[in-house]
Amino acid sequence: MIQSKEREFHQNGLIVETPSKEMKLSIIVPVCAEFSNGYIFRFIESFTKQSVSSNLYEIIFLVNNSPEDALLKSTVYQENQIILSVGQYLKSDNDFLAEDLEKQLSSYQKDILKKAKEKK
Amino acid sequence: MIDLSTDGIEKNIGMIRDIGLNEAIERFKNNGQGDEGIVALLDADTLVEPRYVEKIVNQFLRSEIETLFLNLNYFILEGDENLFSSTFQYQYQVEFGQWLNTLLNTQIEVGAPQIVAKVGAYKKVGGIPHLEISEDFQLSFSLSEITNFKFCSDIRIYTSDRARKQGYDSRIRLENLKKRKYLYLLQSRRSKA
Repeated sequence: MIQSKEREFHQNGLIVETPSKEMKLSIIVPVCAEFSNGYIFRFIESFTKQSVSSNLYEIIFLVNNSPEDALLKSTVYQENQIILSVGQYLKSDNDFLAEDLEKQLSSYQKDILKKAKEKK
Repeated sequence: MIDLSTDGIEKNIGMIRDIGLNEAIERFKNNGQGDEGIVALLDADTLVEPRYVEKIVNQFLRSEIETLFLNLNYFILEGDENLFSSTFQYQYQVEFGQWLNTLLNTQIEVGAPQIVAKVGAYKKVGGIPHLEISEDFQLSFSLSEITNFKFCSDIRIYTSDRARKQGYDSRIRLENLKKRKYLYLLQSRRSKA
């Protein structure tokens, strides 16, 4: 378990949205450069097909890369920034994709994100 | 989403999962579920069936279990005879091993996406080990040692077989599995002696 100072540091980056009262299952998913291989969209798609209400569960994506990747702004880091903007889009009440993000997505990927927003 | 990409701190996979676990624990504290909240570990290349959430929640509602181990299946994205062979062998060995372990009520070692447990169970084992590799094997071993667990073959998750420098994932895992079996046999022989 993360304790004391390390725990306090990560509290700054924690999710601010209040969890649903009905939420029973939390799913933890580390994500590192999963944009160009399309895995993240396949993953999200499989959750748009769940048989239960989305109030029952939530998915916590942990977008990560090494400090060197961040320093050099490597392709891994850049992919992760796109994934973070996908996350912001999914969280927002706005149905319109930011122009930069829209250019990066295929129509299939846009469709998945739309379904994920509807499910939410 | 939690942004761990820009904080400039080196983290291994065990630490990353543990940050997520701590976040889930906080959120279950906030919504009143507390130690009864359920936490599943998945990877981004994993796929789940449409009744994944429903089946997991029902399993925990129906019985007194604290930990659930799911059934991992590899799917192959590209045709390759060697890949098919290693995937099949790995799948067979793992499923047989899990079935036997459950039958004998001995410790289980599985991959992260197969692990689902209540918050209370994670607390009992001290969270997720901060390891670069095999954090999932060590975690599942501890969970099966300390908590009330069940292997549920009815809940299937799917992952692609990834090609790495040392070979395909399933081949590496198969070799590791064999090594651990030999080690286990050696250890039990030594302890018997």
